Amino acid sequence: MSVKVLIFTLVLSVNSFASGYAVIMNTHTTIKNLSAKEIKNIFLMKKYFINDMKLIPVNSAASLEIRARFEQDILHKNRNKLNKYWVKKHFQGIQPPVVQASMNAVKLFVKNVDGAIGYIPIRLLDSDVKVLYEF
Amino acid sequence: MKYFFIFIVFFSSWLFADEYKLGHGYKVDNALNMGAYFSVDYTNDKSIDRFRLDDMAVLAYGNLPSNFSYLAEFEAAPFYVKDYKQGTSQTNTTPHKERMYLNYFYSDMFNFRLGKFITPIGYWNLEPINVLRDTSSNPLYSEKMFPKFVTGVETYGYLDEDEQIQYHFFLQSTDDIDKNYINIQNDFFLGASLGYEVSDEIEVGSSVGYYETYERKDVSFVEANAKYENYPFLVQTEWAYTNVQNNVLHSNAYQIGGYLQGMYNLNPKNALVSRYEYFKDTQKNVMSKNHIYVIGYSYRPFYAVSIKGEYQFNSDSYLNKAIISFSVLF
Repeated sequence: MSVKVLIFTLVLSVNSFASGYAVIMNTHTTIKNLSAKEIKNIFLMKKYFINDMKLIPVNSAASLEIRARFEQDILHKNRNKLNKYWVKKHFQGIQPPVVQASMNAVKLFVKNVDGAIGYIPIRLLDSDVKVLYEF
Repeated sequence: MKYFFIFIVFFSSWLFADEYKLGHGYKVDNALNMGAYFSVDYTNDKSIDRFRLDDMAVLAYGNLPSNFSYLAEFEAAPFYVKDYKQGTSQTNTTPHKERMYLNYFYSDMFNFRLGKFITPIGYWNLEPINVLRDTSSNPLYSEKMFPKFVTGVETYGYLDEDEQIQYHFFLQSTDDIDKNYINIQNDFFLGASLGYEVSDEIEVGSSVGYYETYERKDVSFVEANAKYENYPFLVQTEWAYTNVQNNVLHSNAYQIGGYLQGMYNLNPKNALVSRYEYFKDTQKNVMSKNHIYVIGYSYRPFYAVSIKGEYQFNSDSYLNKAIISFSVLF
């Protein structure tokens, strides 16, 4: 019985692990962690610096599930609201974050560019990147 | 009008470019993002029966090395006017410098801007083009109480770590870069504004300023604003008071003006809009007092494409008018 419970618990843990996401920067950063509010401000191009480092937010492609989850959980805005936001920012001369086509591309970009900050599934984490927030 | 069609054909070609999204500009690279907009409107009241191609503008902006960025915008307005009552038409293709500035990002708290930029006051003035507004008309508050642009320097940023309190401090001590293309011609302008984002739904703010006009008027003003946005509702209000010292007539006067506007979204594309405006000016040569009620309808097939209709009831019924407009931001 106890073995079955253990297996059940492990399966649940693996599932929850696989569906989680992490906000990452490369290992050169001195930042230890970020709050959800700070991440939101970075990706809405309101916050440009941390510890004198210019930040480069990196979005995943709009079609990916992780992007929708990020917009809902961190930015708290739906697509219509975000579209309105970026149209207004375009008139103000502010560009949205750069976009990478896949989650591996986001990770590679973050790994190679100091100041880049992105989000990927936890299952893609390795020692090349540093986790600053999980959602 | 041929320029208008060339403009439309050129910018419409972006619609078929890879990864282009209407209203987000065309990104050549990080240093160059291009955009454009235009608006057409038709106005009818007891003295006006007019079709107008009001704005035709192009803008370019981008990031430069070493934390610099820039923006340049040129506009011809009114580009074409057909007056059916007078039986006349007029074309103005001369481009004017609407905005032209350089930014330097030093930190989230201190950023610097140099050049000609929109006066950072309230909400209406920062979204001055037809397509971004929810009505075709502008409240008198936004036209008569302070210069829409500053040619000078500005420092701006956030005062707190959560980026909820934003400040602007600006100074102009010269003519406008394009001095015939501003609502109030002036050669000195000093001001400051504060905005506080109370929550995702609520913002409040206030501004103060002082400017000297070509007509030798010294004007000081104070302004306050508030906004509540929680879909499907949007309510915003802005009010200002000016003290006008006329150095030619040696007289003193004041203006009070503002508006309260509400919008109810029937769905993401359709909205009902209503606005109440008040404007009083006690200057001897322009003495006036207006109550204006506006009801309107807004349809946006995409957010960057706006079709609007409105009717204005003015306390002077001779000025009642109907306006319809169509505008696009590329």
